[in-house]
Amino acid sequence: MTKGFKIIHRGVLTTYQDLGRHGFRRFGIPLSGAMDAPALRVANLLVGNKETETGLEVTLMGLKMVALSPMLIAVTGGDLDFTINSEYLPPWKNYRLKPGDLLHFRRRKLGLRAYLAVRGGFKASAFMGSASVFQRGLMGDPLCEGELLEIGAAAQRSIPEFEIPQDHLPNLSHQNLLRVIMGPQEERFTEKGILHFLKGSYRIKSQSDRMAYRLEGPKINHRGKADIISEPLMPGAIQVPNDGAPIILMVDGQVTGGYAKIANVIRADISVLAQKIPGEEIQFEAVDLDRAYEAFEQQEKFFLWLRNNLSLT
Amino acid sequence: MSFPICQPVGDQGVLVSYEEKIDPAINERVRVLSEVISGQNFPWLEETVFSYRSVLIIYHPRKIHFPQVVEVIKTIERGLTPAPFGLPGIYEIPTVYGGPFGPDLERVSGVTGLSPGEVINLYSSTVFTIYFLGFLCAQPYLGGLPEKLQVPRLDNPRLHMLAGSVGIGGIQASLLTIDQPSGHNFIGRTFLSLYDPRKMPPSPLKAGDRVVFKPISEEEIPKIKGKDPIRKEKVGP
Repeated sequence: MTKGFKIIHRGVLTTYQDLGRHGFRRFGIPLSGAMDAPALRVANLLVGNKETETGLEVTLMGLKMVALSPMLIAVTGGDLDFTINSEYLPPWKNYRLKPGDLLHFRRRKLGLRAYLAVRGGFKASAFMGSASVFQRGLMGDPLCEGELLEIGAAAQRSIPEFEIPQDHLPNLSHQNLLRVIMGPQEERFTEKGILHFLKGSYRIKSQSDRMAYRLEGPKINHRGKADIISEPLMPGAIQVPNDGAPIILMVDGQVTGGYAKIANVIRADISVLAQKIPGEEIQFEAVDLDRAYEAFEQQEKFFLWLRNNLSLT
Repeated sequence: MSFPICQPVGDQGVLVSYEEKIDPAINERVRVLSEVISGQNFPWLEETVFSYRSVLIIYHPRKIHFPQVVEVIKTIERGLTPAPFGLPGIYEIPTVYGGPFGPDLERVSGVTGLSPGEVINLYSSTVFTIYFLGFLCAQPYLGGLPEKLQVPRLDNPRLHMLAGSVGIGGIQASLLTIDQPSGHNFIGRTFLSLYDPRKMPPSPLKAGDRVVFKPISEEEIPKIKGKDPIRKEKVGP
């Protein structure tokens, strides 16, 4: 293992994330992992890693760190005004570092979460097969000042300098429409409530984090009570408590819950929401399963294209 | 309507639901269905999660689609045989009741009309059944709270309750495995280790186990701190 970086400033919130813990939800352990999983996968591919390798999820702004050895990194996801030695460098590209280089995410320009992958991956403590930090579950902590980040040995394979062309970028930050599959408790809402949900615009509240996004907008009325017998749920679930204001579960969200759910955000669009900040507005569009599967297929086609272009297949 | 019913949960889940009630027999069937499906090593299966009366089957949408998952579930469900589990364990959870450890003991006493001593006696002589582990971090969902002890949740949930807190929320009993906000009425606290992410499984308790909250004194805390629950005896099916 090599010393990779030293943290100068921790920023608002920076955590190790991979693609999450799989197979432990029956113990009440959430999936966790990168909120914008496609962005982390791209970052890993751009440095020649497996898509599942551990990277950094940089939230909003402020992370400042210094490179301690020569490295290949990639930055993807939101544009947080990333600079190396004060020179602005756009995301969706890989960059070579030399020792002493100063990396800084200065401020939010677009999106909310940036991902930094390093060739060889970050070496962080793993719990249940994943290095994804989930602080409430006592699995790791956010990065702090002075911390040394270690990186793993890289497979010997050269990676070209590469930038994802604009027209190939996953449409992560520019859309405000989230596609949903209605249910499983659609019948618990009034026709008017459902109409509000599908025609209205919802503002993201400040109490939104990796567990859940809280929204405010036209009231989603229930026919009866909002409470149901607690049942399993997953990221993307849109719960509506008694006040009629929806809550969308995200990757650190609870595994079981007792509020009626009007719909679930489709898998391909959860990463869209992950790049939204409080104050932004979103709308919902009901789609059928075939359209949802097709959207997911499209996303995977992008990855096939990327692997081909990086000669990784 | 014929149970179970299967509904889509987004584009990666199938929710399999039985009758809308909290019932040990229904929960048992749910548990068996969940275990049998997860034991099949289906290449499309990501994981299964169950609660009181429902199982969530999470699938990989590039490997299978909803109608095919439902077919598989229905076939397995029709062929289910009674529980393939070993006998449940009955575990003793040493609990310090009242005082700073049970800030709501007085409130529970007031609502139920029982004296604090009677509340403790009734609670600690109840054998609770774990229906499932859920919410976050292996939190057990406990059934069996005597009707006399059913007390509504607090109007204003506390922002920070400590792991190990033992209490009552409506018709449910509760045992917190991690620090969290909660609107339950807490009458005691245990100091056992109930959740450890470095262990597999992360919880010493599992669905189907029975638990008893045995009263101990404050002086006995050091003896139990950080230990596992004590398995007492086997109970028949």
